[in-house]
Amino acid sequence: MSDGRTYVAVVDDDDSFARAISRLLRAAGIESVVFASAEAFLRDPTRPAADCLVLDIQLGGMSGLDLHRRLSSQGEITPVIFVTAHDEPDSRVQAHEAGCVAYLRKPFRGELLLEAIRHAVGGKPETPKP
Amino acid sequence: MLILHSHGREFAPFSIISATFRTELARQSPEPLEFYEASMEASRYEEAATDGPLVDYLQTMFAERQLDLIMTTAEPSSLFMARNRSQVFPDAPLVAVVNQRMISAMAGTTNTTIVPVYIELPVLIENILQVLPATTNVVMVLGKSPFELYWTEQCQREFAPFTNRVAVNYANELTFDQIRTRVANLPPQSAVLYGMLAMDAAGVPYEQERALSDLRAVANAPVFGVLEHHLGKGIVGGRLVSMEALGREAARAGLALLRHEQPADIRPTAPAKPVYDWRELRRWNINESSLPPGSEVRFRVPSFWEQYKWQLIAIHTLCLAEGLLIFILLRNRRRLRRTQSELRQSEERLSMATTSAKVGVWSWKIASGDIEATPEAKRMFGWEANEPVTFPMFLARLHPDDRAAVQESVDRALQSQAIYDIQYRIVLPAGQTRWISARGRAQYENGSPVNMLGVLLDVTEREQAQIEAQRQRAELAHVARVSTMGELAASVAHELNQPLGAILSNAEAAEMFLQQDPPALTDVREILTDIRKDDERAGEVIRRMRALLRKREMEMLPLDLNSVVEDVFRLISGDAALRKTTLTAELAPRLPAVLGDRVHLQQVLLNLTMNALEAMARQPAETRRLMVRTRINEDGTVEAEVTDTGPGIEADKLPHVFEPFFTTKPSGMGMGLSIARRIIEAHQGHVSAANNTSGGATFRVTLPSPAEELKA
Repeated sequence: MSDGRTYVAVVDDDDSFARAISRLLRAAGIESVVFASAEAFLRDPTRPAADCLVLDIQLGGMSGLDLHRRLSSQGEITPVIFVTAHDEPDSRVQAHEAGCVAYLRKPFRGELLLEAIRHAVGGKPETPKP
Repeated sequence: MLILHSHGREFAPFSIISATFRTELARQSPEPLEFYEASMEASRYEEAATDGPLVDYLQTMFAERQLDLIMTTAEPSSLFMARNRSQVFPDAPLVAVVNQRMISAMAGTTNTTIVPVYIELPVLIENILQVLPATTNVVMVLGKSPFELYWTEQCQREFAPFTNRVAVNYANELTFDQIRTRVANLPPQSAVLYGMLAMDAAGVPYEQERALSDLRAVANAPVFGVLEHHLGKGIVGGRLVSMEALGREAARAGLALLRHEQPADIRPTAPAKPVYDWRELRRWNINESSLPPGSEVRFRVPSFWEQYKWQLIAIHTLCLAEGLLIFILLRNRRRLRRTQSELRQSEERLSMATTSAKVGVWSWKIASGDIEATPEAKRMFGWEANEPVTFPMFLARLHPDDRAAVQESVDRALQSQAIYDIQYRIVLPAGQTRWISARGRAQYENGSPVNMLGVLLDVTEREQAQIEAQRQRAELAHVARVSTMGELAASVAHELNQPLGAILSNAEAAEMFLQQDPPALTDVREILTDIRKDDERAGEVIRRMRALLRKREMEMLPLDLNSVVEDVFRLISGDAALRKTTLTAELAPRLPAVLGDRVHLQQVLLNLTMNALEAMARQPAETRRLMVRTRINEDGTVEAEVTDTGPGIEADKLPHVFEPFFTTKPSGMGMGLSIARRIIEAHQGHVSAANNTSGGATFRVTLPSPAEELKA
């Protein structure tokens, strides 16, 4: 974002989980916006502004992996962190092959996510919340 | 009549004032009116140094014409008139719609009525805080045209007292795209205050309502407003200034001036009113009780009841009539069934009597209590062939738990001349328990019973076989259920990990919020509520699984097959989503009840649907469809059909799918379908498999419905 803050887009169809992540990020001074589906995310014209994407793999419609593929094919190279409640060797391999910053299995420690985001935005300084 | 615009004839919001003025005046005036319009196209608020050309133009234009009234909107044209009227139109009265802040500049103009525009800026912020007290951040949308910059300055000055409660950010240095991004990504507890957007920082002009609806479409926080005509276009509301009311007041003042009333006596006023949009209140979860007193809520959508009152009453009346009809039908059916069962009993008696060796015959002299019995009967009871037998001896042989029932059955047979018909257990001297089925009838002399004659049948083997079968079924069903649960485990893990993940992140966020200074207790409170909900959600997953794992006897109760399908859909929906399979249910309305064991039938449908999901695993995701249909057949049986779009079953294997240990799955045990068949057969139903003409397989479970007996 133009004001130098880190801004993360979270796509997860589990309402409570998405809310929890967005709180965790806010507590760490990171702005986030939540989408309940890949389709809703694609419809949002402001999405290129995100510094990092947190994508759930199993979503209602298009999966997180498919969404990532679609964005990459359009040349949108925002760093991606995959999260999943249903860990399968298959999707783990696909996630790593797709080139993600991290692959986190729910439930995961918040510090892992925050570290992955810091890594993703490449040392971009976080402005703590006033 | 001359209307002199400040910013152009179509420049909103003033265009609304002048349009209303024109319409109202034309409507209410007793005489036809002729309107002339001119515009200053002013773009600045500083003293216009170049009044000259416009003065010349107006003088030329109206040299031959007599003006009866002049109307000006906004300050540039009003001040122009204040400066030049004595020179141009010394006699025509003036109605000037002027920002209340600028009225002092009009001092000294005679023959003038001023319609003041009161825009009380602090009220705008107060309104937001009243409706959403937690608001800490407001984005003020005003563009970069000189007019908008004037208002931005006013806002900056008058919003200053709120600095400690709300941070106000101004949008006038942003392009429209930047404003959109900004309002789409606001932190929680934000609000947007939409003034107007005539021109953005890049100098691009915007037609106002489009800018508003675009912003409203992307904003992640409620949009409040200033002007009433923005209501209904996406703003929540507030104390809004009505341009139409100003136009109407200007028209009222104009008419009074045309009637030569004293300008000072007219005193037009159009106070701002609290008005809100019901749809926006709903959208942002704002309770109407938090609105200021006297608020008006518009665009209310009538509730379902209000909208369909008569249809609903009609439907309820119909349901009532139908209920009555069903009641009458049920009563008739009960009568019919009683007659039927009596018929069946006499048939059974006949067949029993013809059964040879295993039947014992007895005769009981009621007065003496002596019982005469055939050797077969005595052998069953463990008596010697020549041993005399009495009624107390018979009672002593009975299983203690059955004694009372037998005594009661005998008494009833004697009193009401009914058939004695009972099944009981006896305990032999060696401790063995046997099942006996007994039937008899009393003989009467002069109306009182003297003798009772009857037959006995040892049914121990049959009973034991039945008990064993039931036990085995429960056992097998349990085994199958456990193995199906294993297959479901993946989706159960998914369902548990979601709430667990949310709980963990919430707990960590709470720790961080508590470390802040001051601790963000509101957030922590919300977190605790969410944690509790997620904990309950996880508990529910475990409860559902446990109910399925429990081992139990079959319990036949009337049940709705549709509800069984719904139960199963709930269980497999997670798995179906993981397998990217579309689930569809076509449930027949008013399905007659079937007699069955809910858990066992669930088990069967669970097995069939899980098989179907697995069968489709290698099909392209978009073709994977699982459909469950229920229907009533013509013969009154009830059917559930599980259809998939998988590869189907090879023709030579089709006849064997229900055989034990037959499987098409590499990992399957081949027990699921054979158990399913046993369960359905225990329900007096049958199950079949077929390939669809359009691909895939269909499994059909047919169950008798008690209503079917009517036709027997």
